[in-house]
Amino acid sequence: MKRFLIVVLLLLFLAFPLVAKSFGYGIGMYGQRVIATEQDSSSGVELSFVYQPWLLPVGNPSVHIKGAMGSDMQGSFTFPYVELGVSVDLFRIIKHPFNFFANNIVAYDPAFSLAYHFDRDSTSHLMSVGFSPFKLSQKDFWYEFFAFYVAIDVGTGAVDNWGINLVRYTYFFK
Amino acid sequence: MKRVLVFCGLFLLLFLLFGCTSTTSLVKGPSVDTSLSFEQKMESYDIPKIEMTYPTIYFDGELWRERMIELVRSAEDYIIISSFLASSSDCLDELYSLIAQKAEEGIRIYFIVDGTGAFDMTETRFHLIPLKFLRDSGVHLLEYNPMSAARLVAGPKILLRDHRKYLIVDGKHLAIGGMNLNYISIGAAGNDLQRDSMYEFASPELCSVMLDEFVPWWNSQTWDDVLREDFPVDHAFGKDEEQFTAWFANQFPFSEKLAGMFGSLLAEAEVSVKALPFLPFFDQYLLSVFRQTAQRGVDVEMVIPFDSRVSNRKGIEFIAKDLLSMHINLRMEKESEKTQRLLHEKLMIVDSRYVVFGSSNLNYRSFTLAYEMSLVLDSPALAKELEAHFATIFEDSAPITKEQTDLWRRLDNWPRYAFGIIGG
Repeated sequence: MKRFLIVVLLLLFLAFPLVAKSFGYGIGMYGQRVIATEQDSSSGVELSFVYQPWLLPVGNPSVHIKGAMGSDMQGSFTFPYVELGVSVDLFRIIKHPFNFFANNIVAYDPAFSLAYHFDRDSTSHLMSVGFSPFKLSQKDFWYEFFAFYVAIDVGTGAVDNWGINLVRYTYFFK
Repeated sequence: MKRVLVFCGLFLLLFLLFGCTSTTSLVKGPSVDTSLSFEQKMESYDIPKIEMTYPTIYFDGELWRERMIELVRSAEDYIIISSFLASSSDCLDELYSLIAQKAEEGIRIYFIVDGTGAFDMTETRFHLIPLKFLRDSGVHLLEYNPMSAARLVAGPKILLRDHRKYLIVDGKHLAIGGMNLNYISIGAAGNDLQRDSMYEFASPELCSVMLDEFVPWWNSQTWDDVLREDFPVDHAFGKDEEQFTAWFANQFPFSEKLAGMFGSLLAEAEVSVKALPFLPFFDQYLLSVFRQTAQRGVDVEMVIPFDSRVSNRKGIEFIAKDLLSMHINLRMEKESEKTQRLLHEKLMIVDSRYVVFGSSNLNYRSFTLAYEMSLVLDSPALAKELEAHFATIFEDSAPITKEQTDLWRRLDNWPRYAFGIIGG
């Protein structure tokens, strides 16, 4: 009974932010370089879904799932990766040089991310570490430029691939 | 071709989904429940009852501009301004310079303009000076749902607009109506100036209600957070004057407040309804509610403005056949020197007693896809005053005939009608 109550309370606790804050979806343009098989390097469109349970001034964690699709070096259509991970903002400031960018006040909040990087052609387990140095946000929108990641083979510690998002726009439902 | 069909299908689906949400209350639910009083119906739609003074009405944009300058000049603490379209121009320099000056003097000014303001396609576009400069003076400027290539990612949300027009000064002075703060609404001279209306009055209760709703809404839109306690209300202001009962609907997209309010009023109507809808892009429920009202023997008069803007006019002409099916006294303003000045006014008078005014057009978009503000005032005296005003508009109009509507129903006008449904 005690365990049941704990589970219920835990579920309620987890469900609270689900109803309190919002989901978003994004679209970006990516380029990816695969180290071992260069011909598999690709570029194209990256789609993402983001869940941001809170709107904290510091940290502000979010969960994301991203999928890329594009064309490889031979011009063939490819789905190079799917990622599931978390992002954390380093800080959020309102006064910065990038406010010219949007009509309304935009916050500057560069973010780190850590994700499981799934590549169907790879037998290794890959983790990606990412950094979004030019992330600008409004309460319902993120603008990101030149966000990059490095995917590392967990078994060997070697870099498997790396990539960059030239631009990514994410919109949050309210 | 297949892709185009898929895209159109998805768009239609979204459109239908939107369509299912918020105009059904015109003909279903509490609005038509005969066991409920009008007051109970308003309660059921969460439309608060308030007390207010008899309003001063400005039918002339230049007069409202002068009054607004007085009000801004008198501000001692804060000003909240909301306008669907707002931009400066040479003839509005006095107003906007004053707003900037007051902000520099330390008056807190919160200014909301819709994101379409910079895309104003009326005559204003030849005079338009964007308001960004106000921010340099310390005005808290918020552009609702900005239009930009990046924000196309937001998809259908790009259709949602803040159509409200209101002013709050120091928790004392209030104004609500249809006038934007741009060249054609309050700046132009001659035929460019629209015919419209703004209502100024005192109502501490309404001030409180509006501020209670403004603060969380503002905070949901911007990092420039505010606190409710930063906006005091003078609860004695105007209380020495005669008080009138009113109901206030602060509509937000997909809510049913406006549909509930208008549906309830039309269900209550026993004798007469007089309406200025501005852009009557009606959906099936709007058509139904007026048809049902007329079928009960209520004398329904509606005057559609003569719109010299071809696109809007052709769109309205396309739907005129449907409007005629309501079997009401449907009229359109005659083309004349007077009607070159577009009638932008929104008004409904019911049984020479209830007066509805505010920002809302009588159309699908206002009832579904926009933020709007409307007030129902229970005042036979105001109704009488506005019936006289309505009569002057009615005189310059002519009945729309079946022959006309048959001619107007042309396929090449359909795109204008379709745009009017979501953008009118």
